[in-house]
Amino acid sequence: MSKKYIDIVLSIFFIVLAVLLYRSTATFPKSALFTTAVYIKFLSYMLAIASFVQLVISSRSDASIKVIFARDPKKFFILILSLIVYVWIMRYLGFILSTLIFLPVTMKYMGYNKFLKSILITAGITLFVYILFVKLFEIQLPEATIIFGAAL
Amino acid sequence: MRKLISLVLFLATVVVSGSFAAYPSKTVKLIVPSKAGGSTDTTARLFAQTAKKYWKNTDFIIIDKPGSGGLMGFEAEARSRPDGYTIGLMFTPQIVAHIVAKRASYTLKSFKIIGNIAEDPEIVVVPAQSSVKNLDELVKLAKSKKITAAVNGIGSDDFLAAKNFESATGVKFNLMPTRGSTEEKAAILGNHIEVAFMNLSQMLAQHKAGKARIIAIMAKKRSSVAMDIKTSVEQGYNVLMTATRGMLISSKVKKNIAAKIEDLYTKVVNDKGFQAKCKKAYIFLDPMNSSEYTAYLEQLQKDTQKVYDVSPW
Amino acid sequence: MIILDALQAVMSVNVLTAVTIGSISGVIIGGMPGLTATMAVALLIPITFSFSPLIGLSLMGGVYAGAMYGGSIAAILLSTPGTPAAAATAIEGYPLTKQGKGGLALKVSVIASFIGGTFSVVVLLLVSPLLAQFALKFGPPEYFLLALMGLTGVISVSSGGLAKGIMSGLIGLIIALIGTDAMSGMLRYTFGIVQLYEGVSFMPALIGMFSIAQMLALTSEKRIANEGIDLSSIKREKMPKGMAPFIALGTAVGTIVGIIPGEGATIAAFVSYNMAKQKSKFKELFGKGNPEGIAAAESGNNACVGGSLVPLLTLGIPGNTVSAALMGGLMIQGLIPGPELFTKYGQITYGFILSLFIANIVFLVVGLFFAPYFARIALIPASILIAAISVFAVIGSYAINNSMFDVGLMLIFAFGGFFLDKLGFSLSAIILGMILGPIAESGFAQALTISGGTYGIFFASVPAKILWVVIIVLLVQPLIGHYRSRKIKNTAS
Repeated sequence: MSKKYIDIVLSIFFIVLAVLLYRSTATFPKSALFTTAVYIKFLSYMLAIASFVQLVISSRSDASIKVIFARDPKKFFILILSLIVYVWIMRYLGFILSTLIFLPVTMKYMGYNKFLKSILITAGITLFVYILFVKLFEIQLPEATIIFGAAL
Repeated sequence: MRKLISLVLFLATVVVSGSFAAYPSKTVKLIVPSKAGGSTDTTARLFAQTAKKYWKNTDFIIIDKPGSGGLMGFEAEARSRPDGYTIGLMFTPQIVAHIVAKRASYTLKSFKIIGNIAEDPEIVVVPAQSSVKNLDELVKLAKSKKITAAVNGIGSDDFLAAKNFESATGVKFNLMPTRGSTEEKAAILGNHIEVAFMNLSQMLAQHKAGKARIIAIMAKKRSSVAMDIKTSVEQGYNVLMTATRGMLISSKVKKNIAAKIEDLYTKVVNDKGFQAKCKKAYIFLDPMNSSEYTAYLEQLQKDTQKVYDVSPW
Repeated sequence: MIILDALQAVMSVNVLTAVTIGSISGVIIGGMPGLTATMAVALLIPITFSFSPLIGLSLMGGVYAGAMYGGSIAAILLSTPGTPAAAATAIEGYPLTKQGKGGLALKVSVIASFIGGTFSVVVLLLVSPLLAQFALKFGPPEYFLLALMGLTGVISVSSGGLAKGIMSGLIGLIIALIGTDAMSGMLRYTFGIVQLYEGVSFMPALIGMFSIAQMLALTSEKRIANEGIDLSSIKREKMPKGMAPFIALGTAVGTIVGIIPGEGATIAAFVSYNMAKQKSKFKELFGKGNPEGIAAAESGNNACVGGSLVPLLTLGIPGNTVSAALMGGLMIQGLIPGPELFTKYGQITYGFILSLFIANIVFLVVGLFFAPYFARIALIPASILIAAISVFAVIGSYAINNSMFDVGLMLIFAFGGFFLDKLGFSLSAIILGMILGPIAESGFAQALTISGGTYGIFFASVPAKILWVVIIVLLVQPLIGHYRSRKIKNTAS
């Protein structure tokens, strides 16, 4: 993707944000009017100015410069997806079960092919986190709500 | 995959067999609606330590859920599984202030109140350099010019105390809300503001060292830890405010389990070791049983509603 | 003579063991996102009843000192700052690890941390009551200016152009607006989400933007260290020359900033980093792995440890959450902050201060010994690291507030941060804005409340005037630098 056009779109987005921010202060209660509202207005001026300068710089820049987000897009998107799925299933399976699934799967897709070692690493990390967080620090990790019912 | 299934089955068996055992057979969680290391957190940790003496086979863990003046914690307590393994710490007036300000999705009816543990009375404090020695002089000064009064956040006990004081005396402060009592402390010790509304435990050491002056304690009787400080009532101002720290469980917890928890609470607050430790930690014990404390909370909600109706936040 | 008594008390086996355990566990806690020194101290409070006061306190002090240093280890090796104060360290440390110089970065960090930490304890030992008076001079207007001073660091960390750097800082400041309006109690920009009433917590943002964003970048690599770097070169790294002035700078800044209550360590690290960049002969290396930046930032944040105990011990004003928890530990032992601590209870207080020296020595030895082993993390296959760090990032953002919402927030910051980073926005500037935003805003609003709306209050006091001079110097110098480098570029093209 061309950096120039992304930059232009983002600059316009931030200018709009600045305007919205400025306008939001109109509804502030009296006790905030000469204190926090002033601060927020100041931020919106600054953002509008900086975004406008960036808009000018970008529109003059060379359109042939491309942004490469990932040199290995397959792995990149798999990681994003697996992170989202990991956090999603944690709500139901709890920390331990979902980590036991997430670790070997992610290692595999990131290119680690030694099956036995990856199982050992998975067990090791999960055990380490369990001992450190649960046993030593008494932090309650997310529970498996499918088994235990509604969580906190 | 097969390993996984067997693991799931194993865990399920453990849980099912566990749920038939007599209460308490599992770890009891104490939810603290504020940060680790704060006074509510310390109260909970001391409680857990003592409770272990009475329920020998039960473990207690503390879960801190800070945020939004306790709201995050109170919400979690209201949503908790009603099996008696989750006990919540709470503090006033924030727990009712959130209901009054329509921020909370719970009501007092969501909880079974176990009892109050400690209180921390509200105080009025001025810098050591200040000429103000009592509430009369404070009112006189506030009427002669606009003075700045620090309170720890909007809707807090400090805020309600300041608002009540304003309506009782007719003065109008320049209210300066802070983020935490540390900022109030620094502003008073550094003589940057004229007066602050705080809790006794937060300024007692500084008062005794002569670095700040507490001019009133907003209670009916003086505090045993600082007999030299006059009450607001003694000085002719009937403005009362205190922060209490109590215990609650979900209202859906079975009666027999709730009774066991109440019994544990009674044992702990009457424990000599617990009392001694609390004294050292500047936690002022003020036990109130379930019915007394429930009545107190209901009255507090009505009083807070009055303040909110006049000046909402 | 009281100090000699205290020294004798410290030199007992029990106390030395307590400090050593405290300091080493502190290093682990600091290095692990999600575990904080505050949590550790809170856990220790009920236990310390059964210890003698000095043992309990030196255990807690050891954790505090160790954790401040420990934050730098994961920051350097994995771009995963365990504490926000280590964020500036990650900016220079992680690029060095990529170049296979992780061992060197770790050495610089541990030595700088040791010197900063030790010097600030000397200051605490000798002149605390005097300095406490200085701390009290800081009121709301001065806090606002202090935050402003920290924000000048935005210019130093902006690599993709000044406009984008400033925009990044503003994005951070605007994210910090979300939550409850401090002055009126009104909710603003929360969209009815209860978890946002308190504001966006910055630990998840920090973990997302520094840690996970780097793991996303790592998907296209085989390991952290670039190709062609072998193990033997990692092991034999000597301490680079010319670090002394930067360590001195960080130590001075950290000690002074630490004394002022408020989240000092992060401000100190960034201000020291910023000043180091202005002072350096190798400005262009900053952001690409300059050990000078690590030296300044790490000595800066560790110097805050001693500094933050000054107002705590003399006035009972805790400078940050760790010292607030520490105050609980002190009071339980019957040690009420104030002048009596240095007279009646002098033996314990001075013993506690002296134990901090030992805590610093402990982490120095541990850090130097393990640095070459830690540095080998750079050679672990990326496939394993990515998966493992993701787990630690998730659990780390969860554990701070026991909140799944924060985990989701962490992912949003990771993906958004990665995108903005690729476009030349500065993630460090966003973090700086998020951390300093609330300090700046409340200082600004409180000052105007006191003054009744007139702006003269920001120029009234002596500290305020000094802060303005420092802010202007910190602003003008790099702006000239930016202008010059653009001019050179233009003439070259």
